[in-house]
Amino acid sequence: MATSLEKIQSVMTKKYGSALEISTPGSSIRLEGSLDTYQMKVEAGWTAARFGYKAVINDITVPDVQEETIACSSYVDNVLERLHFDVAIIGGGVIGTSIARELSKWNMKIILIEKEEDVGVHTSSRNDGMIHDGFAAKPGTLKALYNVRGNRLWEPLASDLGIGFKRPGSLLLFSNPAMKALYPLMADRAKRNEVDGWEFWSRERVIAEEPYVTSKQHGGFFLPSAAVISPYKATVALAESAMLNGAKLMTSTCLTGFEIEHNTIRRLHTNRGICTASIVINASGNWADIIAEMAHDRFFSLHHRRGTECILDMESSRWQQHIMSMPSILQVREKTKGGGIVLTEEGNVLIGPTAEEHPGREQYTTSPSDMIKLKKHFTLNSKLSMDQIITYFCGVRPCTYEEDFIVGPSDNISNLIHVAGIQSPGLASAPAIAADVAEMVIAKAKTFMEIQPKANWIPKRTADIITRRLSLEARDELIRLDPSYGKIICRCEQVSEKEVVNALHSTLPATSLDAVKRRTRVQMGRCHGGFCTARCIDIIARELHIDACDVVKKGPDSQICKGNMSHDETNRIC
Amino acid sequence: MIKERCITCIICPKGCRISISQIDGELTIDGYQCSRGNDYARQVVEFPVQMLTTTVSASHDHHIRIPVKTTREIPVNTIKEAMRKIRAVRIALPVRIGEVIVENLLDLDVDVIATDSVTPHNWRNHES
Amino acid sequence: MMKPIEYVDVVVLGSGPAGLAAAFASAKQGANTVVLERQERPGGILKQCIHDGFGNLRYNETLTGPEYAYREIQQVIAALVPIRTNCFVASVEHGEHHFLLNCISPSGIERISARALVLATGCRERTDRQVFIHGDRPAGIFTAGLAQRLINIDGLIPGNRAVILGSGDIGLIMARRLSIEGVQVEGVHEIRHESSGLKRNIQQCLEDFDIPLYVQSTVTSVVGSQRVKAVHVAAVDVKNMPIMSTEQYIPCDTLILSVGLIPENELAHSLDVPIDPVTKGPVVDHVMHTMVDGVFACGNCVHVSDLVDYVSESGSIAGKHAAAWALDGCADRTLVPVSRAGNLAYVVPQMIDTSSPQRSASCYFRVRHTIERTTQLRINSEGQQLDCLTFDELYPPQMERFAINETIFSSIKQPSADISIELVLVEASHD
Repeated sequence: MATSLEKIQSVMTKKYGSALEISTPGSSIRLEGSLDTYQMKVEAGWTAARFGYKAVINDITVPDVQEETIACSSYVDNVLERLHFDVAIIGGGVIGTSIARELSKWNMKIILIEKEEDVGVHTSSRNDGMIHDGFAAKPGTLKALYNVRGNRLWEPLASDLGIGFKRPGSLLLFSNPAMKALYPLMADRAKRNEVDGWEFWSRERVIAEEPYVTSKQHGGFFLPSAAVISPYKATVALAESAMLNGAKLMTSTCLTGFEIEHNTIRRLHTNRGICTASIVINASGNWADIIAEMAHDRFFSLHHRRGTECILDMESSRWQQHIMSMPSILQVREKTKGGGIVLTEEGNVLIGPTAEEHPGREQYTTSPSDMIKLKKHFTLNSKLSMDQIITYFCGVRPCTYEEDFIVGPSDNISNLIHVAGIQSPGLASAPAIAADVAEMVIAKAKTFMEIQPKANWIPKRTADIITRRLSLEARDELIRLDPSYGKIICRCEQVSEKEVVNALHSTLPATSLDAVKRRTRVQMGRCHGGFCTARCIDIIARELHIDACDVVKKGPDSQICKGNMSHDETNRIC
Repeated sequence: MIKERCITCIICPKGCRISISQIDGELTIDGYQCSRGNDYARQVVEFPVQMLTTTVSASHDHHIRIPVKTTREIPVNTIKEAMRKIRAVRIALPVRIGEVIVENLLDLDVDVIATDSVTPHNWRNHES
Repeated sequence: MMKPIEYVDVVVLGSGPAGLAAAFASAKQGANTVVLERQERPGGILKQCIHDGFGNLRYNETLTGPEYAYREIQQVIAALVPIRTNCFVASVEHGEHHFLLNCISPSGIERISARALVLATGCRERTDRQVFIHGDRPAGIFTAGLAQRLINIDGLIPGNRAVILGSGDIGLIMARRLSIEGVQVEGVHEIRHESSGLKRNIQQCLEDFDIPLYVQSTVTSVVGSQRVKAVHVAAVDVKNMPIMSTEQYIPCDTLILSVGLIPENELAHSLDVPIDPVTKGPVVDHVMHTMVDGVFACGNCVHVSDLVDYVSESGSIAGKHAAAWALDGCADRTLVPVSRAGNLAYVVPQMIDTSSPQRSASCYFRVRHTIERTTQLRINSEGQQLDCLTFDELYPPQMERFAINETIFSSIKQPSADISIELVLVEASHD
């Protein structure tokens, strides 16, 4: 039951003075006014979320924080002009690509548009790759529902997609005897969320399983279903699988507006032309509220929770067997679990993430304070230390104030489906969300068109060849087929030249150095590109028939080099 | 204007630390142990010279770089001009180490020579 | 079917100056020797070091990097030692009295069994992440070695306006190289109170080109989402922590880092070769034999040298003794540890093998702190002073060399419980 506006006014005034104005448009609650900091704005949003409305629209202004606009690709043409699609998916993250793949099972014309030069560039690549067990989600939420379902779907899906999947399990260490006493409560929660298995581990069991664990543990709660995948490889593979089954995928394509008539989206305006779509899916991650607004359906606001993680040298992974963290009792009430040690599918130890409310939707700046926050996790394993860090990165989670996913048709726009607020455990939940969304689309589509499942739908995508994971015999055979499989260009991760070439000519070809990196792991090792960058530039230029000066790191205006001495004096500088 | 600095004499391995101060153009040199040190310091200030090393393009494929150097040190203030000259050069391969690339660079009585042997095939491989 | 296993006496890993010297020395002893190089051509990093200043000690003249490499390569070719380029050692198996190397090459998997290994794998550069530069992550951030390779080998100019962090020799050399190619170099920032580069390079690379050097200054963050737009620089306090009130915004499109080198020892790790925590390279005896029998190491993978001549010297020693080990069979070693005290950061070798036929040793050390006064270095054994050497000035970036000659070597007592060599730095008395 929604609380009355009067009651809300009095609660909010008590907390924030008369600074805020509250209204209840539609079934949402809207906050206006101004507060001093972004943190305060977010807290006000959280408070408002408790009053039982569908969602919070937070229009509080904060000094020095400007509302951001989507930075549209400078690329312009009209390849989409006058084209019609049955379904248009906005956003090429793990959610958009998962949905595209699900829908590609049906005889529908699907388009996915992504504003960046590659899929999975933002939140889908800037996370720890964990397929959560589902324990942490609050029972009864969409998060809890989709997480456990998604966890079950990922292993066979990864196999179909031809990507790696590991299930090391997750160990929550008890930091004191009181935490240990909470075990029955934890087990109860795991049961309510229908998590696939949980175990109590004694102190001794923990030591046997994790020999280098901190001495400050009092046993642990083990969740064997926790798994890991490479989130960017997964997103690329999902996109490629959808494309193999006929979905159209357009990168460097940005939605600039909708034409709406009679509460229906009639046209989509993009930098690549104006097209039409019968059904539109908003899977636009950190921009989902902006896209909703463009559709005149702004019933929720997102806030942006930044997380920094660091990656340790491959060597470190021999000292850690499971995903491991030591949540404090206080964290039970927090919005996130507080991070810990994760083992990546590719064999690195990853530490993090942090959680900090920050207004930048795509601002991935790291700071020394992030490192200080990550420090505590290193104490969980006596062999791990800060000097094993080879890199660190930052991601932004799109969060609603209800801190739950929004998955479902719009109340106001007849042909729009929102998939928004997909923060952690979004990666884990993606296949389950996609299955549900596909059902919604099919149901809707059946009202105006004949649709049938494709008889020739291809579930399997051929796995990329990763030579370092093959036996010597298998590598030898491959090299005989193509000698460039025997030319190692990235010494740290043992990536061959042919693997880079493959990435540049795959179903969804890499067009930037970062895209090559996500697909092949060049530059991801301990030298971090010191040795292989020059060779990659050379190969990219050669394969894409472009000048070495035009090789970019990540999309427009990110050229790696500014001049080419092979040009004549007058145009040496590119 | 006062300009002060300390240099290490590189004439002999002794490596004397020489202090140089310029007060309104007046040069004071201190700390050298022989007259060559004094001369060296004066030259460093008034007329610095050094070896110029760079690369030139091969004529059939401008992407191929051939490392080159001047046969002797040249005045630092001629380097810009020298680079303009050297950059315009295109060399036919193969080229042998020591081969003269530019004769009498800027009339300085200095040649530019190749510092590696490069053939069209080996520029990224070694000579076989 | 994979190619059959090839049997040789000595495999040298790496064809930089250390590996080339080792290969030549090994072949000269009559050992069947092979050099494996993972890059496309031999010479290692020398090939991109087109500047001069190499070889003063080894050749008594000043050479450029390619010229130095050329001489070393020719020597190895003349000795009929094969250099296999594009050959990447994926793993090493340690058998009884031999090592089996599994190599990836464009002609297939090559398996080579060797009696002795010489690790000459060099070093890699520390990156922006490893010195914790924060902010954005656009294009335009390069390690100095990468920038050098792009310019000198690939003919690419990394940017138009550069800031350089770190005044090690590579940083200084790159400042000049960029400047010569028309790049505006805004300045070189050094976190320490003085440059760690050679004095000659400060003169010739910075002063002659009017490039300012800012000491006790560092880059705090990078600005720019696609390409570097600017960097923030700030002065640092005595603990090297940035003083944020001094932070300045420097517009530029390129940041070049010369912030240290790390010996590459992944293969040594896989063979469980003990590593010196200070040098980050294998612990070696005076013939460059690591603490794993049959595994030798030389050059920058042992400790980062400032002169290539020293690298070659260590390669020659390693190659010669690796060959002897492979040919003459495996004698037991009598290792005496070289302990150090006071201001010494490290000493290489860390051990002396008193039973070795090599009755002299080249030793290298670095100091922790600058000493501007005359200093003595004493070599003691069992409380007795064997030798005393004098140094005028000692700087941490500068590697110093001294020799233990035959007379002194012979006076090192055979080990009993308390015998060791001790190096103590004592300030000379002024009497």
